[in-house]
Order: sequence, then C-alpha cells, then structure tokens
Amino acid sequence: VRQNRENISDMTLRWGKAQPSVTAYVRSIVSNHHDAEDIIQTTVAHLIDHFDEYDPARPFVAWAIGIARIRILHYRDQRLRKPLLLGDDAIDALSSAIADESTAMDERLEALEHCIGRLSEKHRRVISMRYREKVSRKEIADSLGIRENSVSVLLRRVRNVLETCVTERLGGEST
Amino acid sequence: VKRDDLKELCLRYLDGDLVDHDASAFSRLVAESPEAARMLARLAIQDTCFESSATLAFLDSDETHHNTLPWFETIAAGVNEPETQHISLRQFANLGGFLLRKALTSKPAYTVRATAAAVLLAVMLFLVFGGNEEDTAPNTLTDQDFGTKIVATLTAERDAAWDRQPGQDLFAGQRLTLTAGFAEITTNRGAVAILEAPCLIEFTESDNGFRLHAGTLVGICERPNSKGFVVATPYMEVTDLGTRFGVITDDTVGTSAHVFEGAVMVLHADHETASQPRPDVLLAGESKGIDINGRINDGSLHGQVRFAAVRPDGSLDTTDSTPMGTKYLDLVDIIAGGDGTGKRTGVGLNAVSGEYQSELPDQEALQASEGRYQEVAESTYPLGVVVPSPDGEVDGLPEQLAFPAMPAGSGHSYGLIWCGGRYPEVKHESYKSMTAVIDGVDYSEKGNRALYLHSNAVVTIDLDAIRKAHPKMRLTQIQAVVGDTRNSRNARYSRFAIGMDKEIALEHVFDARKKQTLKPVNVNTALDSTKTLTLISTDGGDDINQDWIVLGNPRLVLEPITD
Repeated sequence: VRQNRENISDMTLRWGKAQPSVTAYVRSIVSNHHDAEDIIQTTVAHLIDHFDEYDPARPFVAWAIGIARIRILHYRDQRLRKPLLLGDDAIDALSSAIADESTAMDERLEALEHCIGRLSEKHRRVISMRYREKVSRKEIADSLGIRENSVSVLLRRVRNVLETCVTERLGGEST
Repeated sequence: VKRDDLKELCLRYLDGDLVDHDASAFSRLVAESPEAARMLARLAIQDTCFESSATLAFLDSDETHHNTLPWFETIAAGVNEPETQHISLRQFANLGGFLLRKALTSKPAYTVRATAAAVLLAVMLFLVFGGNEEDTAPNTLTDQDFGTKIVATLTAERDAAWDRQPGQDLFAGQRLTLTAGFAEITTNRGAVAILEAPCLIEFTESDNGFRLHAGTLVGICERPNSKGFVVATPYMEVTDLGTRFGVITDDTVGTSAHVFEGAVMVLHADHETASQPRPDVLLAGESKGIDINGRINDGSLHGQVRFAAVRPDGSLDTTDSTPMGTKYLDLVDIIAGGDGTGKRTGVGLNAVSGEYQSELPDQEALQASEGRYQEVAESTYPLGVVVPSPDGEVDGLPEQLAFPAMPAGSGHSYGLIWCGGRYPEVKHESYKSMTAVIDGVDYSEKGNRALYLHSNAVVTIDLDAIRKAHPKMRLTQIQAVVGDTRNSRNARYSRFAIGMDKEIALEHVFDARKKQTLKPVNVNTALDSTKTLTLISTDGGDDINQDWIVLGNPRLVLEPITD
C-alpha cells in the first residue's frame, strides 16, 4: 500500500509538470475539444495503470506523449470519414518536438509570465477572455468593439510577440 | 521561409483557420521541417500555458512591466481598422493567382518534389501576404503543375483576364483565379459552370464538380450525365438534381444558392442547433443561404443577385434571384384542407366522395366512380375531385369551373389521395412499394413534402380564391418534382398532367419498361391568370396497377406586387 501511495504521489507530481505538454500535443492534433479531452483522460488513466512500467531514466513527458500518440492514432483509425489534418509523419515529428520543448517547462512558464506582464492591459484581457474564460471570438469582438475577424488577427499577433519574447528570454533565436 | 511567416502559419493551423488543402501541405511541412515542428510545439504549449493557474493569475493581475518593448505596441496596429485586415473577395481572388504563380516561378515544377515544395511555398505565401498584395497579372500555370487527371475543360470565355484559351484541359488539384470577365467550364460529365469574376475555384478528383472558394457562378446541368454536379463552398455543398442554378460565396457574408429551374440539394451544417448536416431540396425560385457563422438564411443573404451566363454567341443571359418577400404555399397542405402554411400531414382525401379520411379504405374495395366531379366540403380553399371515367366524360362540373378535357381512365382508383408523410402501411403487397423517393430524395421525410396521387385521381384548386386571400401578392408559379415511384414493371404506363383552366399545360407519361422515362419531371409552370389549377393522375390506359405518382414539395409561388 505504501509503495502504491508513493507511486501515485510520484506519478501525480510528474503528471503535473507534463500535463501542459501532453495537453498541447493532443489539442494541436485533435481539433474537437471534447475528443481531445477524452484522449487526455484515457492517457492519464493509462499512465496511472502502467506507472510501474515507466523507466525513470527517460523523461516522463516523452513517455506520456508516446502514450498519447498511441491514443490519437487509435482515435484516428475510428474516424475514417473525417481524417485528422496532420498525417502520421507530422504527428511523430510533433511528438519529438513537444518532448524537446518541454525539457525546461518551468523556465518557459516563468518567461511567459514575464512577457505577459509586458503586454498592454487590453492585450492581456483578450488573451484572458479567449483562453481562461473561453469567450467566443464574437463575444470578444463585441466587447472590444471590433470585428470578429479582427479578433483572430489580434490573438495571433499577441501570441506571436509572446513567443518571440519567450524565446528571446530563454536565450533562443528569434529572427 | 521566414521565422515569422512560419509562426503565422502555425498559429492559423492552431486556430483551425487552414482549409483542408492547405492543411495537407502544412502537415507535410511539419513532417519534413524540424523547425516547423518545433515552432508548432512552442505555440501549442504556449496556448495551453495560458490556461495554467499560475499564468492565468498573472493575466488577471494589475502588475505590468512598464518598460514595454516597442514591438509590443505594434500588435494592435491595423487591427482596429477591420478593413485593412480583412481579405476582401477581390483581394482573395487576386491572391490565389499571384501566390501560385510566384510559387511556381520560384521553383520549376517539373518533378513531384518540386511541385510539393511549390505547394508548400504557396501556402506560406498565401498566409504571409494575406490580402495586402494586389496583382492582376494573368495566371501562368501550366498543365504539368498538377496531376494528370483531366476533370474539366475551359469551353468559353468573355473578357476573361487570363491567358487561357477555350479548349484547355483542367486538372484535379488545379486552382483557377478569374480576376475579370466570365469563363465557362464544362466538367467531364457535361455540367457547365459560368464563372463571373472575381472568382476562385479549385478542382478536386471529381469529374463533375469543384470547390468554389469565392465568387459567383451559374451551373447548368442539361446533359444526361451531368446530373449530380457538385459545387462545394466553405459553407455549403450544392448538388444539382437536373437544373440551372446560381451560387455566390464570399468570406464576408457566406454562401447563398438560388435555383432558377429544376431542383438542387444543399447540404449544410446547422450550427445553431448543432445537428448533423442534413440535405435540403430547393426548387425553382427558391434559395437558401448560410452565413459565415453557420446561421441559415432564406437566401437573401447577398440581397438580390443578378446572375449572368454567357450565351454561345457571347452575349450575356442574366437571371435575377428570387425577389425579396417571395412566399410559398404548400400544395400538400392546401389539398389536405389547409391554407398552404400549416404543413398538414397524414391526411387522406377520397377522390370519389371528396371527404377527408384519416385511414385507408379496405384495400380490396376500389374507389369506383362514374366520372362524377365532387366538391370538397371541408377545405379552406375550394377544391374538387374526380376519378376519370373510361370515356373521359366528367359529370357534375360547376358551370363556372374551367376544366380541361380529361384523358380516359379506368373509372376506379385505389386508396386515397394522401397528403404528407409516409403512405399508410397496409397489408396489400402493392401498397408496400408506395414510397416517396424520387431521384434519391425521400419527400416523406421531415423537411420535405409529398403528395401521393395514385391513378386515377384528379384534384382541382381554385386559384382565384387563393389570390383573394393574398391581395398584395402575385401568384406566379406551381413548382414540384413529380415521379412514379413504382418498383414493378408489370404495369407499363402512368400519366401525369397539369391543367390550367381548359388547357393541359404539362403532360408526362411514365413508362416502366423504358427506365429513362421514370425519371422525375420538374414542374415549373407559370400560372399567370389561371383560375383553376388541375392536377391529373391517370393510368395511361393499362388500368391501375402500381401507378405510384408522387409530387415532391409541390408549392405555389407568391411574389410581392411591387408596382
């Protein structure tokens, strides 16, 4: 029982750090929000059930993404009528890329927070509305008094500069 | 590819703003370019991090760094002026030609690999340059830029701003951008589409259809094999059922489809009710629109549209979309006793007695008659019925009723004239084949209307009474799809006709042994000053036996009086 409890505790800790990466991976491939959440849930269930198979010498996030990848491919096989936009090779390439980009997640989050702090209040507000409050683009447009298409443009521009800022702060190339 | 361009592409993908064709190229890019995969990973993680508790807390805090870098201030530049951000129809049309041409001149596209690279680059350029590029130079794509499958031919043009010539083959995967003038495309199966600039289309593997990304077209499907021609827009899929129709689509309003003759089937996703996409059949004079947010519209989405087709002599043949305020009266409801708006369903009308009945009579008891006209007592508008006699004589006709010369019938009929829904189920084998499926469309299903007119049965409708009930409207047409839904060829003939006062305006014989004659008839007949409309179903002279004449979506068209 004690071993089990330690395992669950260890698993929970690791999952907490890996969750943004696994979630990002699944959502970037599966556009249907509910289907993506289902895949994430079944991935977590698998991780819990098979945690004793995890090799601590490997990054946990890579293992979790590998499990999520299998779930996604299974999901893809079940929906032949509407295939995923990314092909197998792209899904594999994204698996590796997200695992690589996740190695310094704490620093990435810190950099992101810093960069968000440099946004104007309006731009922080638009990010908050879209991603935290899950407000539709139309409602954001109504709130800001701009067109719905302009909301998409604005969101892309804000995310664009945030990525540049984060990358610069982490010491990566940005041009 | 510049880093910022790559980032823009990834962001559009994550937002679901890439069309399938571009997404396919994007997928290859992610698979082949580690930098693309890395960028997509970073942005996907960033989007997810916005939702994490720590980041969200920061989003909501009042704390800000006041040493904001200058480029943060550029975020909003131009965003608050939507016109500068929006890709207009014209810009969009110009864009396709410019981008593909630039892609192909940048890398000679004589190999598959080079073609793939060009497509990728085209996607990049398309997304990077947005609507800022004005370019009206002719498209210089060549045949080898695409696959080898020929799906259509450029058959005519008028003032078209490109260097293509009539007779040029068009290939699967090919995009055509028409920046000025008109162009006529004929698919391999004979459907004709007249494009009006600005217009951007893309051919798929289909040899009888293509994607209309933006622009206006008129579809004409008169040749036998052309039926089933499909025009797919971002908001709607229009399938011809033997017709002439117009489609207009853009990225500011949405798509609207207008039927001039015959019928089309439109498939759309109803986002308001989150239901599954379901097909609707539109008849002549009818239209339907879907706006960019998925809301369904009656077709007035683009206002009144003048569609133009190029005649063989080069002159223009224009057709206006249905006038605003046009109404339709459901003939099924009228014959069921209603005023044409009630959608009465599951009502039987006895063609001998003129009485309404909710159940079929004994299937062995024929509805025998001596050709006596019988007024229907319980209907909103004056109706009458008769079962034609062998000598074609009709007794009891009111003096004021203008009635056409009646073709001979056997003098008896089975069952009832049935209004709406499915024909009642009875044990007799012959009734079990009574369906309302005409040309693949089941008119007994919800959303459609069916009038079952088993031979021999005749119904008269007093149009003057309907006119009096709609004093500000003009009664212009009767529309319907008519078919014989029998599944047996034992009985050869059935005959359908429409009488307008004393004249037979339309007549069609369904011959079961000649399969092609079982094809439906599209009724689109002007009523003008007709006082009495008569629907006539007779057995064609070989007695009644599975003469399952069905009218799909029969209706009367009322247009507003504008004078």
